[in-house]
Amino acid sequence: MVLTTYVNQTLDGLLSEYINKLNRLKGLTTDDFERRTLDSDIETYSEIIRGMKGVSQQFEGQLDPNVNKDLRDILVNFISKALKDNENPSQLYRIISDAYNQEVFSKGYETLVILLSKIYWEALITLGVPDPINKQKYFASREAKETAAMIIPIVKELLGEALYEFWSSRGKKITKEEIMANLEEHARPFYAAWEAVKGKIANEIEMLTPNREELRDAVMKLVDELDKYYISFKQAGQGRNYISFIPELIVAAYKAGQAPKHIINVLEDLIRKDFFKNVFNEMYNEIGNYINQLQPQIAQYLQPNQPVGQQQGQQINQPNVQQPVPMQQNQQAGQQQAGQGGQSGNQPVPKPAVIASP
Amino acid sequence: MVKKLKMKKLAVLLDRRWNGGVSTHSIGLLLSVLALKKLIEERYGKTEVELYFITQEGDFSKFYKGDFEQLYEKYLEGNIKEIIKYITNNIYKKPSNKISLDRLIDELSRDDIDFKIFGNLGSFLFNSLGEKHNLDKILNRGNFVISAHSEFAGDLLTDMYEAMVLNPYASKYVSIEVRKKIEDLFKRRLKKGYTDEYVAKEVIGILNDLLYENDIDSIIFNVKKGFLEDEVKKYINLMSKLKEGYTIFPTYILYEQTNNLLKSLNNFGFNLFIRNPIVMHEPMYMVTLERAYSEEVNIYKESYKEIYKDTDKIWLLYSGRISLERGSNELLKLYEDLIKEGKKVGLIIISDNIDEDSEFYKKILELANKYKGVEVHLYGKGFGNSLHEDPLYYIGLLKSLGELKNTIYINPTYLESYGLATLEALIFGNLITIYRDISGLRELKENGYLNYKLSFKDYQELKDKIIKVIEDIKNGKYDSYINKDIIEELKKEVDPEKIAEKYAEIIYRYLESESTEKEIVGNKNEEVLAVT
Repeated sequence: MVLTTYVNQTLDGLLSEYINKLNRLKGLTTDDFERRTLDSDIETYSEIIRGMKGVSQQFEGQLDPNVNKDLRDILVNFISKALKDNENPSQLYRIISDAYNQEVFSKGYETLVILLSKIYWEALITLGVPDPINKQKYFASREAKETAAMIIPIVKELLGEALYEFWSSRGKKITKEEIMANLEEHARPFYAAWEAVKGKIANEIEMLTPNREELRDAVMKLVDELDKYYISFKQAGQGRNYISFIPELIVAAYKAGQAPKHIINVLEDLIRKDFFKNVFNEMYNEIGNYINQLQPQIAQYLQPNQPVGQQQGQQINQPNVQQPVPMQQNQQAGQQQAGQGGQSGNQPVPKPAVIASP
Repeated sequence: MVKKLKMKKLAVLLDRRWNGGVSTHSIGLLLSVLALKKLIEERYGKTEVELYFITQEGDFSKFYKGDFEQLYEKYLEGNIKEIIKYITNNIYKKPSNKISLDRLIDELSRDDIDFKIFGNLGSFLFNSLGEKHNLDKILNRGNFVISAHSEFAGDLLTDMYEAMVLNPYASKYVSIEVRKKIEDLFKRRLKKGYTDEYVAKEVIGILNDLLYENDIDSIIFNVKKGFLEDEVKKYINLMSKLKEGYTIFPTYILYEQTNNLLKSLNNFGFNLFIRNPIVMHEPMYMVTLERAYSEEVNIYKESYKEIYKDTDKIWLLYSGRISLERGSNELLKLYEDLIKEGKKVGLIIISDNIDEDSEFYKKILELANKYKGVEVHLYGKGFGNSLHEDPLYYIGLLKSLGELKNTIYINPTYLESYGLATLEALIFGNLITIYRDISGLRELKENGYLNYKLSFKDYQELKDKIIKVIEDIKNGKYDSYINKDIIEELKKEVDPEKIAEKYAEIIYRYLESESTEKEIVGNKNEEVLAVT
């Protein structure tokens, strides 16, 4: 998985930088206390980075439609709707990633402010603050609230700093204290900027086709799904156990080190390396590759005059998905039933999955 | 005589947030409320029912307003399947049915609602419904009934065990003494099978220390603390409302455990008590379903008989979640021991939380590789053959196993406030039922519903009893374990229509005492004319 490789390489690289710098500092001092403090810093950074790498491992499979059935359904729906409307799914998909790249990721320092504002507001909304855009309140599970509550103090610090830098660089006279005193309000327009990308995408899709509703809904479902894996809390589906990558990364860092100042340093350094932007692009590329893989199968299914009995229906429901590994089965039970004919005892009932000794 | 009557209005909130007992109860309760509307109309004339749902979508609670009138029409037509599908297939979750929490609170606070039915006490605990200002609006008179299902002190203890004992980070901020104490309490509760007064008192004592006498600079700990505190506050808010209204407990022991907790809280200056506790069975929706579709059930029964009739095995049947507290590990150990000893036994597992990736599944595969004669049948969502998605199949299976007289139902759970699945096995299958002697199940035993010879306290007793029952079945003594009269009586007791009568009695009691009060104060309503 390219995403995991990128994340691990970046984090490993960052840790090496820290260790080198701290070792260099150690060489400059003879004070035992200072040396011990620097050793402890190395340990803390190592723990934080290890924790964060754990997230990318857990995330493995989340973006693979062969593993994640919810994502598969959404992708199949998206590709089918696009093809039925004679649109190229890959080009349509590009509209989504182009919109994010134009509106969020090509804006220099503002990108960081938008991302941190989005994370911060998502956490607030999870804790019960009404969404500043639609005024809707969401009532999150305890686990989600716990995650949100851990994220807020860390992101708050980063966001305050980022907003201060952003406004100062534009010659605006405002102190960090003023920003911190009203952080929600300062972050609100940047959160809205992220959400507005969705409106832009919906609009572009609607302008492509008169069958606007179906195609738009299929595209927006995909947008929401990707938003969810990347950053969002509130788009989670029924009973789904998912990891939203960026918030989970921050929580993992905290759980591993419980050292907010060190985590802020790590996140700041990652930001400097365009980490958030690159993670986003890797995710989008990965999904884009799956779209390319699925498209021919779905196109074939949608072709008219498909011979009956080729079980193409199954393909469209489960493209590129391996059948479950057969269990060691004693088929006796199922065979007994299959052998009955035309009697009441032959009604189709769910048959057991059987595990039996060889 | 011409009397002026006002149209009656009821509201019902069903909790569909989790899988399991509460969710199943909501289906039975809906059927009871449909029957209830008929009863209330017979007594008071036209009655309207507002139907609401609380659900869990991902990490969030959502609220929906259902179409009760449409369901009532189906009920009158006898179309029970459609009603059940409305809930189980999430048909009520149309976007247009979605409502905000504020709207739910507004609607439940309306003065024109004569009586409110809340399917789960826990509905108030994990969202803003349990905040005092909202409860003041919703539970503002005594015109409500709330059903309790789980036991809060036990839930708190489990939360604390998870956060302070199992959580590896906890050692950084919780003393070893406190962790040991929580672990001991947790084990004591598991061993006893219920929360006694001592455990309740200790849980509240430790919680108080953790929340209010522990000043630790840890975000993780303080976040956990914050949520425990929030949950306890909401529980106390809710309990303070139960000085009015009616509270239903499925077993007396759940009521007793709740009282133990209230006593412990009252030591801290509260004055909490439950004014009108009612102990009654939970409605079992499968009873209505079987009545409406008996022919279809018979067809499924015959199909399952074809699968299970020619084996020379005795089948052990387990239905429910696979988890530590449900005793599923002991179930597997039992099966392994029986196979090792050369017994011809098969195992049927009906569970929607097992699939090919689960540890439990892998353990079964290991057994099959290790021993001869292993045969395990699995039904569940994870294998695409869930019997709970269309319960007529489940009823058919239970009936077939009961008629073949070759199956023992096992409930090895450590925690059970009621035991719905056990009663289903008894009612539809007339199955021999072996169960752990704990809380809700003990009470069913004491009430004579479960065979007193078939309870067990520990693993050895379970194994000894199973071996004896297997021998007895082989010797044609299956029927000696079954008391059909008691089972028939139980089936009537859990019938949603019978439960509706009990709800009706509660409502009559409330409305008629209220109208007497109203007459005394000379309050005259002149809205709708009716002739009696």
